[in-house]
Amino acid sequence: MRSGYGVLVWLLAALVHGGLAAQTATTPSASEASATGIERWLIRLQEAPRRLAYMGTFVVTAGSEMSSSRIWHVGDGERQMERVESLTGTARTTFRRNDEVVTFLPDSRVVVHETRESLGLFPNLLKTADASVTRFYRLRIMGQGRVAGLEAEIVQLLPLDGLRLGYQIWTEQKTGLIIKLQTLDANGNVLEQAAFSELQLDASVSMAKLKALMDNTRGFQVVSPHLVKTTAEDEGWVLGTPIPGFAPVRCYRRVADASAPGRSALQCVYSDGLASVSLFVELFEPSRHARMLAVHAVSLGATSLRSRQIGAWCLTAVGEVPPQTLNLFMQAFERKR
Amino acid sequence: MKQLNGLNITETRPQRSDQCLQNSELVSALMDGALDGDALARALDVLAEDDSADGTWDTYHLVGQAMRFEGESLQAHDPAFVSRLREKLAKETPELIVASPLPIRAEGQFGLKKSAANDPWWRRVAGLASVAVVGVLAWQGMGWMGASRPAETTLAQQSVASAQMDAPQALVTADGAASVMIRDPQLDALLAAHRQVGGANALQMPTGFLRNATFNEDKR
Repeated sequence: MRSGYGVLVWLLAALVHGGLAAQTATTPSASEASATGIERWLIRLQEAPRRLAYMGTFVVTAGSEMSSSRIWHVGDGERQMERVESLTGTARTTFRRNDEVVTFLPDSRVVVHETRESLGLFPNLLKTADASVTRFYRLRIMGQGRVAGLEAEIVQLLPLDGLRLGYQIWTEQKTGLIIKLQTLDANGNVLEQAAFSELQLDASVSMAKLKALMDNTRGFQVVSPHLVKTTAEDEGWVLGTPIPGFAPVRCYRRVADASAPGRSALQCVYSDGLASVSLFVELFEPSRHARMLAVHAVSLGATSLRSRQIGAWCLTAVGEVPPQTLNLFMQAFERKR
Repeated sequence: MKQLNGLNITETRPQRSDQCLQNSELVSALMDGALDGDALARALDVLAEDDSADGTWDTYHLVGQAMRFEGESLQAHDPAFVSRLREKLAKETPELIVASPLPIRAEGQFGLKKSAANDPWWRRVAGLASVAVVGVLAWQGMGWMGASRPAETTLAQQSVASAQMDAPQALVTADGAASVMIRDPQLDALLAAHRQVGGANALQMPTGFLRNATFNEDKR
């Protein structure tokens, strides 16, 4: 009996070991096989908020910092509206209507009005992104858990190389809404997490009311960032060696005001579908950049930043990727000859 | 005013020193625009007839001019007086010098923001970086506070900058074994700009947006 039990344990161990070995050996084909799985899962993720109304409390922790906000969301299939009211730090309320974002700063009586292209690209973005996502990440089903009193499915999106970070994602079982997201380093340590601490699904959130609040800018000074679309090539820059999985997404020139003509800066964004890297090129000014170059390597939660001087320019890379990925970008980005 | 109206310069004929004092007060009131009617007429008579009152008138104007336009060359009857006055003003009003920015440590958990305070652009940023998205605007050099309204700009800067002193922000942890808190509006602005037009990923909707709208670097 005793020996029989021992054999059973051995068999089980062998099976588990064999299973793990098989998984390791077949990683590339496994990722291909699960490609449709990732696509389906991502589409469900994107679809979830389109027809939902909910309100809750959202908490973000990065490093030693914790921020929280009160969230109202409503989607009617075509339009989505959101209100995010900060509960920590500087008082501010952010409204979103599809890709239109308005931030109220009551202390300074300023409203910042922006159009965020990245919010309006779905589903086109997903079509271009998913190719990279399935080639450079694998989906791993982790089981079930509970977040904010709701049953959740847990999955991991793990990078297949060292150029990106991993994610552990909790989606609400019935709706597919993301209710918790952790960003993980190569060793599985949590760099940053965002989650609902409390969430009321099917809440009565009025789109008309949110719209009225969003559009009422009386007594506030409305300002907008001035972005001009361009390409790295047009600006005389080139990413000499492509970084695996990262494709150029968009490039802007931030236009300076007349009083500071030298202060316009170039921002080019590259993404692998899940992570993104911004490359900033500014004219080098010792008074402004000397210190940045001195502390050229910083990280905050999942976001890292690197700076270096190239001739007359200061190049800065910022992104939710490991620092070594930023280093590759810094080395590859060069003046066009 | 009431006291001045009560004066009866021509009838009481006071002692010379008292007379001078009263005339000085009369001239002072005249300069302040506090006289009318008979008192005004009397003050003008005094100025016309009394040389010392005339001198007082000049002196008071000079004092006013010196206080209003510090540093400019002053026109006066008595250069020696001007230099004495300047010396005295210089000794008595050191508080008028605009307070220079606090010496600021570049790093350290309790260090305030390092700023190139002589640079007007950074002065503007210093007041804005507490909210990342506004930091972006300042970083790109937008004169959103409006060159056309300099007075309002100054007030806004002062109020926001004073709030800034209470709540330093932008905590960035340097990587490496020892984490160090750093504050730098330039770093904030870049991080904010990345969040604004970066974040182009499949998780951006909705979680990335909520994360960016919720997260703030300032610590209170």
